[in-house]
Amino acid sequence: MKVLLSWLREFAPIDCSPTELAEQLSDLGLAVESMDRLGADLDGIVVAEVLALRPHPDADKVQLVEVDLGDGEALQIVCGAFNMAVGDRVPLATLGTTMPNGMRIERRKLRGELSNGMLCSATELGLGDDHSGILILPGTPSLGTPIPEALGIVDDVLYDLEVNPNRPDAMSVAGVARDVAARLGVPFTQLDPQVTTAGADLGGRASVSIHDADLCGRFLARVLDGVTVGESPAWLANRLTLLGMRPINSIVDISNYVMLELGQPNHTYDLAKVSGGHLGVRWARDGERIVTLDDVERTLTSGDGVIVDADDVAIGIAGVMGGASTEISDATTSVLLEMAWWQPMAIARSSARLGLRSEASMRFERGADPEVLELAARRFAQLAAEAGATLAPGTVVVDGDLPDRSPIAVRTRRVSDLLGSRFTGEQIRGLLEPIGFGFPGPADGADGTQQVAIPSYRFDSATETDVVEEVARMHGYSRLGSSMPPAARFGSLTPRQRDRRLLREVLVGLAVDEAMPMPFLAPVDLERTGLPGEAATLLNPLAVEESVLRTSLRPGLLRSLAYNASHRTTGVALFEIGKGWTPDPHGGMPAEREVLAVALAASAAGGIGDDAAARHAVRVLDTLVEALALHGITLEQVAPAGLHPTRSGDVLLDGVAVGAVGEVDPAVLAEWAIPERVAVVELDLDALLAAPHGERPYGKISRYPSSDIDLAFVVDDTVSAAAVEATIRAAGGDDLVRVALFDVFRGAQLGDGRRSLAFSLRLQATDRTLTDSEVGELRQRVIDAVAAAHDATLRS
Amino acid sequence: FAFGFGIDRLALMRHGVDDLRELFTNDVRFLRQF
Repeated sequence: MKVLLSWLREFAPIDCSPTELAEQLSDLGLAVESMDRLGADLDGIVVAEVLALRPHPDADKVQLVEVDLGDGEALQIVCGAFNMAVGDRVPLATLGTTMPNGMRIERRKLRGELSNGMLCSATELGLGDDHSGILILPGTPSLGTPIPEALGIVDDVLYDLEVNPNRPDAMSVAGVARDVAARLGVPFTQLDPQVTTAGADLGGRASVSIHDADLCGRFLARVLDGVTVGESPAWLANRLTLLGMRPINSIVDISNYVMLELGQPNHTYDLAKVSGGHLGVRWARDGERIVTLDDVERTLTSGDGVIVDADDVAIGIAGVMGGASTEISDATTSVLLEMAWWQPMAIARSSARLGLRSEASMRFERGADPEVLELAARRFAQLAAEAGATLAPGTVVVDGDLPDRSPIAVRTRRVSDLLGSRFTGEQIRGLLEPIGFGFPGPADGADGTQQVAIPSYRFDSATETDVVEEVARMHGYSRLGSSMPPAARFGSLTPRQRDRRLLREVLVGLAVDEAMPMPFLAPVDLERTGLPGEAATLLNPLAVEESVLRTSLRPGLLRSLAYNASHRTTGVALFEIGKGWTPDPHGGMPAEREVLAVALAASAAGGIGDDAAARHAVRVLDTLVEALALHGITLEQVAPAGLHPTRSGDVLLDGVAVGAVGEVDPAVLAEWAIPERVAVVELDLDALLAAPHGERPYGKISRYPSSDIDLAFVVDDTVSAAAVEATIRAAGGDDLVRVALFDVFRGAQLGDGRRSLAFSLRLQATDRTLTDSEVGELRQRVIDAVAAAHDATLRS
Repeated sequence: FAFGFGIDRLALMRHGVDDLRELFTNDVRFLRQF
């Protein structure tokens, strides 16, 4: 949709700069696709006076004209026109000017004579069709004045707007002006054409009936007499041309002008050719034919609307195109003017099916304004009056089904919620009243709603949400501001995640690196590790070396250790927290467990002795258990699969096996070509972390001195130190605050299969110093308990 | 696993590691850098 700034100004006093206007238009949702300054392309063309005329010595189609453009210098121009006289003021295109048609004015030699510019006709200036001669300027404009100024061509701007289909009101100059005026805060004044009527009333000469109310909501007809069909005045033809329509004749041009100005398409009939002067509105019958204005015969369906005459013959396709039989011609003297409101869907369907898209059908499709018909008819008459036509008194208006425009309730709170910005009822009113929205009730009525009457020209706006959109648009989308959406919930780590992090930190703190071996194993890997070979296998492994779902993390860690060893890095300590899959004997899905596995090479352990690695592993286990504040962990000396026959055991949680700890079987290490001793810790985290942990109730520290005693017991090899320790603790009670195994002795004097376990005990009460007799009594109790439970003898 | 653009590749890009296999080989000289 194109609009002219000067035309907009006829509706509202717009005085901001054209560029600023363009910004506001775009901000209002009427995107400016291009902006042309008119009269700007006449730069360099000025008023000059004809000083002398001389014939060209070598050509008779041109003459030599001497002109003065006000600097006192006589310029010679070679000119092909002969209509000027000495003293006339004419437009001169100076050297370096680029004409509106793109031609550049250079100094030229025409048949041996220099021409220092070009005298212009009206056509060459883009002002009308007259190219019969040079444009003689009326009056005596000062020499050197730029032509646009001299001719009173207002510095005008043509905007090409991209109007979305949901803005039917913006398909008119008045509609655009209304929006802009509201935004700029200036008053919008709708036209109020004053016309006088004369002659016979149209009653009796013209009549209208609507047979199908669902096709046409309102039909208005007026009659104009004394019409002379000719050429439109230049200003009207210019405006039509600029807005992209071709001037045809005075009546058709006025029809188009009114459509562009007020958004109301209309049709004119030669009244004499309308049988009975009657216009009937109905749906067409299937197969009904009509020859339209473009002389094409068209076949209609019952989905097309038609206007018929008194003989029920179709003389126009409703809202799309008129018929040829009643077309305005040079002979027309009386015009029957139709202004109507058509059901948008009907027009859309017809226009699409017939392949006839016109400026008229486009506006009807979007929903025109049924209330502007009367005003538009008066405007038409006003423009026609300037051409001598007279408006007959009387108007015929027939209504069909009009859309319901009762006011709707708009909740102020809803507006604020949807837009994310606070709006008061007053503000909403202030933004929408200038564009024609009505507020019949009080502002901020009961429970924060207002009644809003939507203007008849906003067919697109029908619900509360549409009103909210208008508030946003008129306020300015760019001014709404932004804010982060508030989060109703925030995230945090799950207890398992926190536990995992804790485990990782503790292990890294123990100088154990985290590794991530592949979870797939080669079929032999489990066997090589001394573990049972049943495992779930992949149907489509990438390689056979990665075709088995691991049941344990140990093979992967051992492989990593082997890799490092083969690259001359020994003393490696690695851990992994990952999943192991135990196959289901019945062929169902494998059971998935999360496991922590630690692999410690001997030299990483520090310490001396064959069991250095195993003891390191136990220390690591103790540290982890301590960090988790897990209670009820005990060790049982059995030889888990793949581990050393004597330096390994199960980890029990309240008597249930949840893992293993100990040195890896040397045979396995040999299989993996690992050149040093390796110990492992393996814990089923699903089981381990399911138990209560993490609680550290405060233990009061005693201020009183302790008594430290040592006890050594000789027991069978089958009795574990852990068991003895447990007995000691149980017997010692609360006052036994520390028990530690500090020596294991084997010797011939103890006998075969027997060893001595030496424990240091610390006895301390929190409320008093234990007396010697109390210490003695406790000591005896412990000795008796151990002797009884484990067939132990005290070694002195 | 190598399906499309995974978190592993993000890690590679983040730390400037050029060989994805390093993440799974578990060479201590690599592991110690993180």
